[in-house]
Amino acid sequence: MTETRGHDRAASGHPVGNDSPAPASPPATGLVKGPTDLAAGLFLLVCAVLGWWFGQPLKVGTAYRMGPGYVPILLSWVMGGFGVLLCTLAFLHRGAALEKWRAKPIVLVLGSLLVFAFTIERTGLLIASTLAVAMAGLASPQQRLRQTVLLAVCLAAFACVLFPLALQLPLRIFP
Amino acid sequence: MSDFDIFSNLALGFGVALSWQSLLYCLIGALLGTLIGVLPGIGPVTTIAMLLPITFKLPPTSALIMLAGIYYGCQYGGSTTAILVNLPGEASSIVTTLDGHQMARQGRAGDALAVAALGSFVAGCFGTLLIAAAGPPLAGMAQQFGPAEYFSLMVLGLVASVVMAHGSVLKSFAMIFFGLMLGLIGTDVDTGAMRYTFGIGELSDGISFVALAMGLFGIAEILRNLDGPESDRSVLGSKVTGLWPKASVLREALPAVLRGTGLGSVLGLLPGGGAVLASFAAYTVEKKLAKDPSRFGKGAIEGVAGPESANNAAAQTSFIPMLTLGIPSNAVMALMVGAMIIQGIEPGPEVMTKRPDLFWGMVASMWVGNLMLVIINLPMIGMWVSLLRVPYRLMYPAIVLFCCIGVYTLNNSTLEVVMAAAFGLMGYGLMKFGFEPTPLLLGFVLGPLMEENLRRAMRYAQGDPIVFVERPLSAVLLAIAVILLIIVLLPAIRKKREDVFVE
Repeated sequence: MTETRGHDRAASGHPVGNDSPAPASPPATGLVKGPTDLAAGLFLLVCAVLGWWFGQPLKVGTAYRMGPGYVPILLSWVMGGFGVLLCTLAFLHRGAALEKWRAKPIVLVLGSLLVFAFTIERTGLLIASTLAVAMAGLASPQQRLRQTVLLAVCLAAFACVLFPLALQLPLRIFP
Repeated sequence: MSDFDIFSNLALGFGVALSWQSLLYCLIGALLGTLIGVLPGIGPVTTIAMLLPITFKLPPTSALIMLAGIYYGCQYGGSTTAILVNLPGEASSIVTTLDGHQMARQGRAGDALAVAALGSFVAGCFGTLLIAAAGPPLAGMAQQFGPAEYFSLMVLGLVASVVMAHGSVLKSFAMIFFGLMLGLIGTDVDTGAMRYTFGIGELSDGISFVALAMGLFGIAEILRNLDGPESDRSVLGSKVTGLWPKASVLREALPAVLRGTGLGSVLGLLPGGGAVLASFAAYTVEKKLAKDPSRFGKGAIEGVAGPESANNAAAQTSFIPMLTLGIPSNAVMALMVGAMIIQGIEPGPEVMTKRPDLFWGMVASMWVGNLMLVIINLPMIGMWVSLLRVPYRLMYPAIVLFCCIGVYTLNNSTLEVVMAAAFGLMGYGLMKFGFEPTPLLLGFVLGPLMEENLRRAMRYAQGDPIVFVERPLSAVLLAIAVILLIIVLLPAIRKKREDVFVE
C-alpha cells in the first residue's frame, strides 16, 4: 500500500508528458484530444514566430561565414517545427486535460518580487524585505495575518544582519 | 597517467581541502545544504541557486567547495526527511520513502538513518576516487578536441540528457531548443551584433543565469506547491534510537551498498543521469536480486542502502563531465558551471592544468565533506526533525526573500529581479503545459558554446557540414547520439523506460 502511495508521488512530482497517461484527467471529447499538448504546441509556435520576427534584422550569412542571424533563424524554424508537431499530435492522441492556473499565488508571489525590485533601491533592504515577505506570505491558503506580519519583520531583520553585515554584500539597510 | 600522479594530485588536493578555511566553508556548506535539504519541496537546484550569493565574496576555491558541500548536504538531508516523514526532501530520495519510512514505523529509524549515512559515505569515497582517477585522462582527451568534436560532444550530451530523463521525449527536445534560443540573447561574440536585446542595456550580456535558474526552479516550484493544499506531515513522534546499528544489520546492507555505489557511479557519469535516476535504478536492481522481493516496501534494509548509496555516488561522479569537459550533465551541474563563470573560471579541461589547486582541492573536499556529514549529522538528527515541523506557509516567503536578495546582489540590478519573476511565471506555465525545466537550463548553458564551436568548425571546413562525420571522434560521438535517439523512439523500449520510472 505504501508502495502505491510512493508511485503516486513519483508521478505527481513531475509534469506529465504527452506519452504518459494522466489517470486523473477526464477523457477529452471533441476535436482536441490532448488540450495540454495543444497549449504546449501553441506556446512553442508563438516563441518561434517571435524569434523569427525579431531575428529578421540580423544578417544570416552562409554556413561558411555565419552571420549573427544564422543560428537564431535556424532555431526558430526548428522550434516552429516542434510546435506544429505537438499541435498535430493534440488532434491525434489522447492526452492530459489542461491544468487550472491559480491566480492568487501567481499575483502575490510574483508581485512580491516586483515590490522588492521596486523598493530595494528606494527604501533599503529592511523595508523592501518586510514588504516582499508580507506580500508573498498572503498567497498561502492557510495564511494567518498576524503570523505573516511577524514573519515578515523577523525575516527582514535576519536578512539585514546576514547579507549586508555578516556577508558584507553591498546592500543599504535603511532608506 | 601513473598511479603516482593520482597520489601526488590528491596530496595537493588534501593540502587545500584541509586548510582551516576550506574545512570551515565545507562544514558551513554541508550544514546549510542539510538544513535546506531536509525541508520537503525545495530541491537541490533551488537550494544552490538560493545560497549562491553567500559565496560571491569568497575566493573561487572556497566558493566551489562550499557549493559542493551544499549539494551533497542537500542529498543527505533529503534522505532524512524521506525516512522520518515519508515525504522525500529531494526527488532523489523518493524511493527511500518506500522502505526507509516503513523501517522507521517499525522502530528501526536509527538503523535506516545510519545505513543511509554510511552507505552514502562509502559511495562518496568511491566517487571521489573515481574523479581523481578518471579526471586527468578525460581532460587530456578533451584537450585534443577540435571545435567539431566539441560540438558533437554537446549534441550527444543533450540527446543523452533527454533519453535518460523521464517525461515526453518530444517536449524535452523542444525545451532544449527553447533553452538554446534563450542562450542566444545578448551580444553575438563573433560579430558584436545585438540579438534580441530590444535596446535594454542589461541584456547585452545575455540573460542572467541566476535569474533564469531561480525563476524556473525556485519561484515556479513555490507557485506549484501553492496550487494544492498543504500536505499533512506526520513527523515520527518517538525519539530516534539505535544510530549505531548492529553488525548483522551492516552485513545485510553491505552488498546493496556496494552494488548501489557501482551503479550510481556509472549513471552519474552519463548526461542527464544523476542522482534521481541512480536511486530509482538501484531500487529496481535490489528488488530484482532479492531472494524474497515481497519484503520490499515493508522495510527492507537493502531498499534503503542501495538507492542511498547510488544517489550519492551519482552526485559525486556527475562532477566528472562538468570538471573535465566543461559540460554539465544535469541542472545542478549547470548551476555549478554558472557559479564558476561568476567566479571568473571558464569550466573545461584547462581548469585542471591552470588551476590544479582548485580542481584537486574541490575533489579532496568532497571526501572531507562526506566524512563530515556522517560525523556531524547523525548526532544532529533531532534538530533536523524539529525543522520538519516548520509549516510550508512560513517557509516559502523566506525562499522568496532569499531569491530576491540573491538575484539582486549578483549585479545590483533590479531588472534581474523582475526577470526572475517573469521566468517564474514562465516556469509555472511550462509545467502546466507538461514541459520540464531541466532540458531548458542545459540548452541555455550549452547554447553559446555550441554556436561558437559550430561556427569555428564550419569555418575550418569551408562551410561543409561533412566535417562532423569526417573526423572519427566526432563521428563516433554523433553515432552514439543517433543510436540513443533511435532507441528512445522505438515504441517497445519507450514502454520499458516508462516502467523504470514508475517503479
